[in-house]
Amino acid sequence: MLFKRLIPKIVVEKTDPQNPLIFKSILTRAFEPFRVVGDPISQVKIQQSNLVDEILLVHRNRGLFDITFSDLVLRSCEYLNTPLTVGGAVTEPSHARRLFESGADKIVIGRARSNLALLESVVSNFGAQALVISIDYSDDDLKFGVDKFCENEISFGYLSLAGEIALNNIDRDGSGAGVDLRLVETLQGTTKAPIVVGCGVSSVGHIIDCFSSSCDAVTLSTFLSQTDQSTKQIRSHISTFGVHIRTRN
Amino acid sequence: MIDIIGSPSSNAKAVYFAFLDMGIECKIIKDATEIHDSKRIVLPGVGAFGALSKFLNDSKIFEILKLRISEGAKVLGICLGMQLLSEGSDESFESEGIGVFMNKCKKFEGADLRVPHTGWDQVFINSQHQVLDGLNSEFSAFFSHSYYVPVDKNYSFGITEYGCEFSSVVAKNNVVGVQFHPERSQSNGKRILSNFADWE
Repeated sequence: MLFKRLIPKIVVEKTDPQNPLIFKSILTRAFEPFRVVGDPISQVKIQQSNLVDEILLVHRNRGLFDITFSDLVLRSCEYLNTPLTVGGAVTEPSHARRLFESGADKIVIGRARSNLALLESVVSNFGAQALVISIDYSDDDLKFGVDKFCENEISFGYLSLAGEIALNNIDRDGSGAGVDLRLVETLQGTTKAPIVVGCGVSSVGHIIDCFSSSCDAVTLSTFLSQTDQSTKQIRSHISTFGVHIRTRN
Repeated sequence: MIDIIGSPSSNAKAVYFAFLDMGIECKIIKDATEIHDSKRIVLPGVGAFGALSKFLNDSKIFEILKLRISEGAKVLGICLGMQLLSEGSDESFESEGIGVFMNKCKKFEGADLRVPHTGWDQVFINSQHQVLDGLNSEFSAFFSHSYYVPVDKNYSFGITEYGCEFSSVVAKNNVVGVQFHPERSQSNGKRILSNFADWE
């Protein structure tokens, strides 16, 4: 039986204009930089040593795809025998290819998710299982209701191409207010792809709430950095609540 | 020396680093001439059946690989690489597989089934094989695929259940295939890669 997954999310950014090649791992609030955590490779090594289910490495990038990010992906891969999903302003097939060649197992496409030609290119070359579509939305986007928002997302036509759907309520990011699960049931009726939720976890209870919905995986960022919880402890804890999660290799 | 076939859509780097981490000598090859004398070859996954089949044909690796298999070279197919070892796939009807395993890959179907089959799942060892030495009879591994190789009592050494039972480990003579990603399956995966390197 397929296990539910906990996925540490490592967000990176070039924080120092004097060192334009150096990525730092950061914490975000509402997707804006909040605190610099440290060296992303160290973060990768820590998560690898915790034998996590998967790692999500994201370049927070509002601009164009940064080719040096693929070097960071490659360096991360040197230390990993854990699945690696990466994202960061992928808008062209060449960006996706570059990230796969650097060792990524899956890539995340968010902003460009309505570009069906891009998605089809990724699926035909790398398979649907390698494509994660990220829907990053705010509470304001839901002002006309969840159904209306989902209807609009469905109209883009990408759901049939996605290997996985990631749902992130930007307003919950770093808030610790719990994960917004309002879209899960509506979208899961329209796609067969696994659903990953994130943003807002500040307790084990929040994670159990997520798995009480029909989602398949939960991403964790601030929760891991600002508490002494490791994914090992969390997995052990939530398994006692009946969540089917890997507690040993 | 292990030769890893580096198709443009594969995650050959991840496999390369996994072997390197264990001190096992390996290299990524992209040209058919580089596997003429290979004793051990890995065909990694990530990609689409049609795209990988086309690459192997266009690069002439397809025929050399078939030849090396018939000459006894040890071959490990990973994920899509394992599927390429079968005759073909519903993913791409016009594309041919290498045909070591006489079966066609099928797509997961089921009203409530999430597809792709993504994440950690259990492998039940059906029949012992040297590449599976040291693993529990039931172990977890990381899967990421929408198509599967059906179970066949002649070559299914590991079986996983997801909507139906499918082959998660196949083996025949000097060829072995795993549907999961050993390079991403932590200690269980390392054991399999290390066993492959030592497989006599």
